[in-house]
Amino acid sequence: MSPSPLLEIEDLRVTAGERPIVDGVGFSLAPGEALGLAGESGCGKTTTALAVMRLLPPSLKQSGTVTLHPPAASKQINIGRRTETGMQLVRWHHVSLVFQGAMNSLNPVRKVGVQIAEPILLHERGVSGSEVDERVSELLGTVGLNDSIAGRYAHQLSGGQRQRAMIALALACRPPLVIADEPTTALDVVTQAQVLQLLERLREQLGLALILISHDLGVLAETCDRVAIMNEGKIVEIGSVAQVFGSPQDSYTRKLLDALPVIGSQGEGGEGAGSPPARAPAGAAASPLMRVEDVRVEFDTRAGIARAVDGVSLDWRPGEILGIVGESGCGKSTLARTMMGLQEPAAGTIELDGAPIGGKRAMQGLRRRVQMVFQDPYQTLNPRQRVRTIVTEPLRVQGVGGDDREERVRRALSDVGLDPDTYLDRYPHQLSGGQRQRVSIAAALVLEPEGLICDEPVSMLDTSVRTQILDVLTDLQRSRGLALIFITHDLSLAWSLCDRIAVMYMGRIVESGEAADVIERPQHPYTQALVTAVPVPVPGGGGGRDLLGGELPDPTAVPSGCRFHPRCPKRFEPCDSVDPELVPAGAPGQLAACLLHQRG
Amino acid sequence: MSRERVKDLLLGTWRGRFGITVLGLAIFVAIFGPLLAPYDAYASSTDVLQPPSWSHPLGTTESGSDVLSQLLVGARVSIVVGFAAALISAVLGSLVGLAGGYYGGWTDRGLDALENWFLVIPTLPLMIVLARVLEPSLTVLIAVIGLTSWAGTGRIVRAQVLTLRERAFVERARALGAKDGYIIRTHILPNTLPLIFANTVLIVAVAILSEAALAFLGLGDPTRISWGTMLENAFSSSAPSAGAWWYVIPPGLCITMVVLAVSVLGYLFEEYVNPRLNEAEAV
Repeated sequence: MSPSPLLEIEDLRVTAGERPIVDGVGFSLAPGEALGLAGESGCGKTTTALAVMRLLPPSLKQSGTVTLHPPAASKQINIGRRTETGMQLVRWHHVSLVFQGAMNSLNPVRKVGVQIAEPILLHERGVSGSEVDERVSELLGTVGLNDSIAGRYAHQLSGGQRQRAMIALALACRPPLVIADEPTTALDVVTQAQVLQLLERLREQLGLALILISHDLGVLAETCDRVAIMNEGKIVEIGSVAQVFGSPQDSYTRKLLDALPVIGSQGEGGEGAGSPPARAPAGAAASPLMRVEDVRVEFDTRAGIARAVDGVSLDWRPGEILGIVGESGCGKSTLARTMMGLQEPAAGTIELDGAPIGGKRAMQGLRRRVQMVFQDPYQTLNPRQRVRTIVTEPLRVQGVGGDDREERVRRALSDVGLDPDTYLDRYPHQLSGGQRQRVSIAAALVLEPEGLICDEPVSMLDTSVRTQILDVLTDLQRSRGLALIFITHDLSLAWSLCDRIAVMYMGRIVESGEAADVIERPQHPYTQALVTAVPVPVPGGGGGRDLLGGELPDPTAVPSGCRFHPRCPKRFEPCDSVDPELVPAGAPGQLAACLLHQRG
Repeated sequence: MSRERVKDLLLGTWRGRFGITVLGLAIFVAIFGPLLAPYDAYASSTDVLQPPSWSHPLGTTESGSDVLSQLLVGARVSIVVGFAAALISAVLGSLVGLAGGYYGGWTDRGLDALENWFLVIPTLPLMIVLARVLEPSLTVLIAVIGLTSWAGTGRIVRAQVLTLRERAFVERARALGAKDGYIIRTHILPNTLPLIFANTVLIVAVAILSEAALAFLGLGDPTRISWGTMLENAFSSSAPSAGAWWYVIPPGLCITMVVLAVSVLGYLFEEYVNPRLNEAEAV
């Protein structure tokens, strides 16, 4: 421990009435150090951060001591004893916060530059206008943004740009300590990796101390010196990244780590995530359950026609888990909706068992045999219906079953691990996120479909709940021979769960093949970039990698030739004019749409 | 969405208690008024424009009728017109809002134009014209008020349906193969009802006021006494300038109190269903 810590927290407690939210948290932070605060939602990590800034709502009571020793101040600052006006001087000057949800933390009606200038104007009286403008453009430069961003509004920026702007805002008054609350949660892998790299660079350049809050252990392992794991308001384990990840002492920490699949790691052959599944022999001979052929989906937007799905062909075989991965906006959800008949394709055919879907009769058949599980368990259930009504609905709509409906509903609930007697009469708001997603899966299963299309079914759930839901899905696949399509942006998850994977970029499949081949030995430069961007919960992992620059181009202006070429590190002469087709590359059955493979 | 909370809302706040008491009293009088009236409200006598006395607690009218009796009998028309017109407006507004919001496209554009038209034309003159053209009667009054006041409800319902339509549980129902009618009935409408209800309560207040206004202009049902016709008779017989305050103030006060009570209840329900006005759980 260094002689004078920058921040010291002792016995911090926050209570809501009688209920403790933060229950005796204490740690110290040296200047320039990065501490990760991990834990599942509701564990008190955000509350701890807000308590350091004393930004808690008045209904929460805070006790314990929080002391700051900023180098710029002559004396130490006791956060608890400051008046509110005194706190206003501390906030942003000595410690600042990157709020959760960059999408909503910027004021939509004020220009970004004005918002970054705001704390400077508030804290430093007498700065001239031109000085402020200079500082703002310097800050934007520091976070890797162009000057012109200052004149734009939040909605004109991409997610990654907004998060960078938020970081610039946090740095505005040059504080020695920045607290970042889930700074990368809503971002996709590539953008996340860019933002993490930025935070690392800022620490080096500015000697910044950082408290990074995240539920993603991989993110913390890459960015932090030390990690603290929180559970139910307490720090259950704190130590260097190497200690905590290398030899975790606490059982809760171990549980969190076990729930994380690590690409390429050898599992102990246990259930669920964390190890690659025992793969069923790929039923290449079996005729596909669904076949998608050269499907195109177009949307009319103000900017022109956007091709969300642009010539996709794939086979979904009975009983297999097919992963569709890609960044947000790559068209994976649209493809799923189109396969479900929820979106009319502009061209191409979709077949179920060799018969095209589309007609009324065919559609009815499709809906009995293939069902869908949606991403957000808080949105998919009608808040005014009880679980019984929700799970019975598919039977009612399809006119399936008579007297045995209740029986079927009970069976479906048991299958997803919910006790029918306890849950049948509950309303969605009486359920946790994981329970809601189970209900949602039960409602899809009650028709006893052969295929289930899951659109990011666990991305909104906590790590431990996530494992349970995945176990439910894989059990169903094994016991019933259910075919699954698993749409995700999480490559490690796809790797640990799927038999085959298709990687999408801008409406195209750029690579497909056996899951292990595609993720462990990717052939397309885009897949390679995605894989390198995945944060790994292994100390020192991910260091010194080359990241993809830029972000997804506007879908109404598809680049000529190979649509990946503007971002591709391996592009060469004809890439901007020749549109590559999927050709065999790498392992048997592996396909990649890249000119590198077309040549050889 | 609990019964407990509705109870709390109505009985736990002074606004709720006031609204419930006054509206309850008004409905009671609307039903039993004629039985309670000490005199025949329509009968005239020679005791013209008498100030309040023991035999006539609220004095008499220009034709010698008992003001209290007229007040008790007149409540029925005001309340019936208020609720019936609000019901028509709620049904019309909901249908238009649901259809426009759910189907979108040209249906929505057409209905939206219709709504805009009804929103921008001055309602009172339209009501006057309609009431004049048609034979004045209770039914006509209700129809005229109902037909001219649905546009606001339509707007609100449409906005709610637009957000509901994009919700994942509607998409889920579609993925199950549910038809439009089913989705509207089981998913959209139940989630819109509280909003429709709160809005309708507010329209009751508007309808009661409209009835009073039309009656005051002589466009009410000439065969029935209402608080509005009482005011009209008072003014046409120059009762205010004769200093007959007992003839003007009671019906005026009754209208004001009932409208206030209904509005207060309407706003309470609106706060209840609109989480943005009240930091309560989202619907």
